[in-house]
Amino acid sequence: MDSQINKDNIILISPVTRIEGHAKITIDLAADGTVRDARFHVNEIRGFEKFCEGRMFTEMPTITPRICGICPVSHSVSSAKACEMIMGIKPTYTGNLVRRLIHLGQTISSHALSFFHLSSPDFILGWDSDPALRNIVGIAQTSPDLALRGIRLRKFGQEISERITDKKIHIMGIVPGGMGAPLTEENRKALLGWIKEAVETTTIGIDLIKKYHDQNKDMVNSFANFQTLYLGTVGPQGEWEIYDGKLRFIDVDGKILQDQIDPKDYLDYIAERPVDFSYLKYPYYKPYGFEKGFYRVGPLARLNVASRMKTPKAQKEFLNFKSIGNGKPVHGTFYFHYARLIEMLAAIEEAEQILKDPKITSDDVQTKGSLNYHEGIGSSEAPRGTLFHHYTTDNSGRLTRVNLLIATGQNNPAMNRSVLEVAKQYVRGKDVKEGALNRVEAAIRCYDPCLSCSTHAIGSMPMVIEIKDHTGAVVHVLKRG
Amino acid sequence: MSLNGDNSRNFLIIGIGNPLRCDDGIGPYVAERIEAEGLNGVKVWTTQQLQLEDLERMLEFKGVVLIDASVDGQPLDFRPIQSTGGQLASSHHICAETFVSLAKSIYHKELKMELCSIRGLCFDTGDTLSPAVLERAAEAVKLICCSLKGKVVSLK
Repeated sequence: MDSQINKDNIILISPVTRIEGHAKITIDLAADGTVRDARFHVNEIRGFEKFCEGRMFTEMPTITPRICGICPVSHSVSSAKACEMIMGIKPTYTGNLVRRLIHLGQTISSHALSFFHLSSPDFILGWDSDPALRNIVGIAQTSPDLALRGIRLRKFGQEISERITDKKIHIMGIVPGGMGAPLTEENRKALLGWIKEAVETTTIGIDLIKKYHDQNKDMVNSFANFQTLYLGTVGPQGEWEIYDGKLRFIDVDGKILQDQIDPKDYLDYIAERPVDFSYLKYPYYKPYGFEKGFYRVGPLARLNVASRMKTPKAQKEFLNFKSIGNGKPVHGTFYFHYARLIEMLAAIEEAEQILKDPKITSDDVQTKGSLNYHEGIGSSEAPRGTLFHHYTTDNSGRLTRVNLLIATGQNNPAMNRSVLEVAKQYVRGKDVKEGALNRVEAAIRCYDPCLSCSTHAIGSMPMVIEIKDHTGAVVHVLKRG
Repeated sequence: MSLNGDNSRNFLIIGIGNPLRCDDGIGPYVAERIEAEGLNGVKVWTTQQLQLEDLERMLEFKGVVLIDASVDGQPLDFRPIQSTGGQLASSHHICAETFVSLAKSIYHKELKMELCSIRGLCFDTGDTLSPAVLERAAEAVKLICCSLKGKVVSLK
């Protein structure tokens, strides 16, 4: 992290690192040096929704994976579902199963990256350790086996995509009606060979985070701990679900506000409002209004809304997770990491079940269809949270309107609140140490935001933190890039 | 070309870049020209972005040559990649030094890697390479092929 203090007395951190995208944090100080306000700014724009207008709707499952190199599968799946609504078709059993498998692979890959590569250096090497080594290279030097396991776990997730679609990033092959190609028996066996190692590595990660929780209870429980609503996808019985289900909103006490909502009705429950300091809009739960309706999505939200997990090892950890909140939602932002690891375990277990399904290698992978309706909405749970694709077409099938509601956008109000809470806790005056500002950044990293997705960014990934005094003058700037 | 098989005596050429961003595509362009030479013991791969997970594959090879566009520096430059720590702030970009460092610390292996950088002039949207950059590319192909032929011969 580079830092600078200008003559006007303002702190700027730039860039926020170990996140996916450009961003800036400003911290406003009161006259006595305490934190008055803090904001997370996303200063990039890309405009995918606009330039997709005029394209044929059937192209979208191929175009939209290009939005993001981390969650291309979720974009392709949501897009294919929106197309299927326009066509009025459903995918075949095997087509759906293979898509579900790729989606689980992406969850494994993304969560492994977030935990082992980007976040774990803070709690393994220390918040105040040398920032030049506070990354996977530093982990490799101190815990080479853990670094290797983290890299290989992500590789397994990517290999699921690669063995099905021949591409590990920006996958192709998810099409309206199912899949463009089946999974071969050779590839099925090869993927099954990874399961044991993947479970072991995730279990090591879970043990690591639980040990950290035990040793740092005060820090973990006070780290950006604030009440919000939560949104996530669940199955028919309220079970954890990331590929295909209905929406559930819960309130700050865990009371179910809405259940089994069809994702196509999302606009009845979610509204967005632009803010003047960021290209990310502020979504909110419509019935509660802008002031009281902010909610969170992603791993913490999904575990908070779910009634149970679908697989045994994940269910065991889920019960432990639920005990943290004594039956109420777990609001501590730091618990995103634990939730992410439990989800990874669930994804590996479910992937194993799918790979053992006798029909997974069937070649009946696609239902054919054509334009029948002019509107389609598809959703899935991307690694960072609920994702919606909403298309409107003309009579020829050309897109006249595209709306993409991205997980990181939905977490935007909560990320702002998290930055404020952590800044209040760790920042005093303009002469803050790098480690304190790393904790502010870490509040953002809990959400594992993908700013490239949510604003559809161009460029590399700098982060800036500015600290402003009570007159609004920048007194300190920290930059990374 | 498939990268599968026993690669312990092979060299891997990796062309990095986006062919739809003008001169950023010079890495894949050069890699494809080298592939067209059909040299024994040489495998070619093109990608828009390297990932940490690619390290295991790189380590299968006797040596790796990265070919990438640069925005500054010499018009055409070759340098060995040293283990100097490296950083990883995001999955969206990774420096070559990180691979060499991680090869040593995680896999306890020496990754022999060289970087051929070709300075680009235009990185706008488009699939056209600048004439001056194409000249540098031709020189790069010639130099790399000569070098590889020497190394391949020495393997026999």
